[in-house]
Amino acid sequence: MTEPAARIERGVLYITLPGTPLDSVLATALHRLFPGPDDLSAASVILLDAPPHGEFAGLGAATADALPPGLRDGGPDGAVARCIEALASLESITIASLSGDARGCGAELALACDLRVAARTARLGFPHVAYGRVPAAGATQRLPRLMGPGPAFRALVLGEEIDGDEMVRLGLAVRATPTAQAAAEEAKALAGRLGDQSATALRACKEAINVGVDLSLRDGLRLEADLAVLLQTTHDRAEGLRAFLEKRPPRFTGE
Amino acid sequence: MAAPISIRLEGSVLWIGFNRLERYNAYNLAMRDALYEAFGLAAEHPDVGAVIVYGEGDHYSVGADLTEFGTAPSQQVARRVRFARDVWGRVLDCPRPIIAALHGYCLGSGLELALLCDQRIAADDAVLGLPEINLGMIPAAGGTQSAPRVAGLGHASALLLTGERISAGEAMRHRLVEEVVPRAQLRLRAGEIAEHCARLAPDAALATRDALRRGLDLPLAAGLALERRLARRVWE
Repeated sequence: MTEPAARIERGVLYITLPGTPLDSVLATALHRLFPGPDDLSAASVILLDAPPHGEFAGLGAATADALPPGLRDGGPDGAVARCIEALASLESITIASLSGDARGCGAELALACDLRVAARTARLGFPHVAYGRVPAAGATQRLPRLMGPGPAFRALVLGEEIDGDEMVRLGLAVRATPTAQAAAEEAKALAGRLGDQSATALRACKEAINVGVDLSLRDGLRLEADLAVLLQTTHDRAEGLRAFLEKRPPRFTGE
Repeated sequence: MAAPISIRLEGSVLWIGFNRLERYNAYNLAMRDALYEAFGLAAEHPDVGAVIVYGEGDHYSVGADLTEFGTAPSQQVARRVRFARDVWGRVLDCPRPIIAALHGYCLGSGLELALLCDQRIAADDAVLGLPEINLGMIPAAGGTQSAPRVAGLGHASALLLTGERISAGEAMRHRLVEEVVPRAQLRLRAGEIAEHCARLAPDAALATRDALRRGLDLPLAAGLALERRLARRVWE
């Protein structure tokens, strides 16, 4: 398998990467699978995974005179950067299942997701500087916001790789699992749980978090308050309250 | 009806406690109004040097009292009241350091209030969570803004988007609280930190806190300029 494969199940779009380095060809194919901005029936959750016993998206073999494939197409104006920016801009909650390693462009792809689940042995690596390049698909901006500037310097400038346990400690991963298989299963379970939540509330929560970090605290608080009041008008919120008071699981419709 | 909060001044520390034991200290309208008054007092009373927010009984707070939800006559009114009785704004504006002492359930708006404080001390029995998403809602007491600023975007996204509860130990590892102590020592330890804060030169402590907090919202060069401006007032 060299193409990404996609299927939708109960509001979750599952995209399985081929486990090969993220180059322009793969990025273009992946980009086409993302729901468009006007696609109202779009999945509320998107899970990106790869076959559990290989890499998520690694570097591939380097040759003496060329960059490895997982770095080669990572420039600021290429299909990889466009694909990753499109992923980061989605309204859906995005999850990367890191049962295997993500390096170079593959690591930048994983960073553009909202949540990550990792196997303890999986490694996240940014070898750009070692090859005389700069990450150009968001890593220099996303990594310090996710885990603070000190650890981000070690990963991006010194090129130190981050394993699953370290990802959890730094806030990069929700969970680290003992095996690759368990990471794949844990990520699917998380996607399923989020798929059962209110799509409207998830979207609003993502907007409040991601837009809010770029605002002053005061402006962010107003954004949150406005979104919260807007959500008071939804069927999902009424259902959520009713279900809580009746002590049963809610049935959300996204309305 | 018992007062929804208990409030007392011990030395120079103002203790503000959630006090609705029958509802696990759920946050309701009466409590909101009482907190609004209490933080007004904290800001203005000359003897107050530091503030502690805590919960009476077995839990800190389970968050909003859902039985009162939907009782506002309209969304327009709800929004207006949110800003007219802006407890969260008062907490942020309070000119004294505020310490949150967390134990038992620390959920929803209760935890959100703690995330707006300067320090969070948790007992080892504390369970933290922002479960709003499980109810088809989002936090409305600042959680989507305060959690990323306290813990970083990574840990905050996990807390907010999954709605899962975490233990005191996890909360410490995830940078949501600064210290975990045995349950029996929680008030003692919170009191020590508050008294320490109260003994500091107030203008230096406040300027430092303002530089920290407001600087987070600024580009580094503007933050450094803010620090110089605030420091000049204290040094001169």
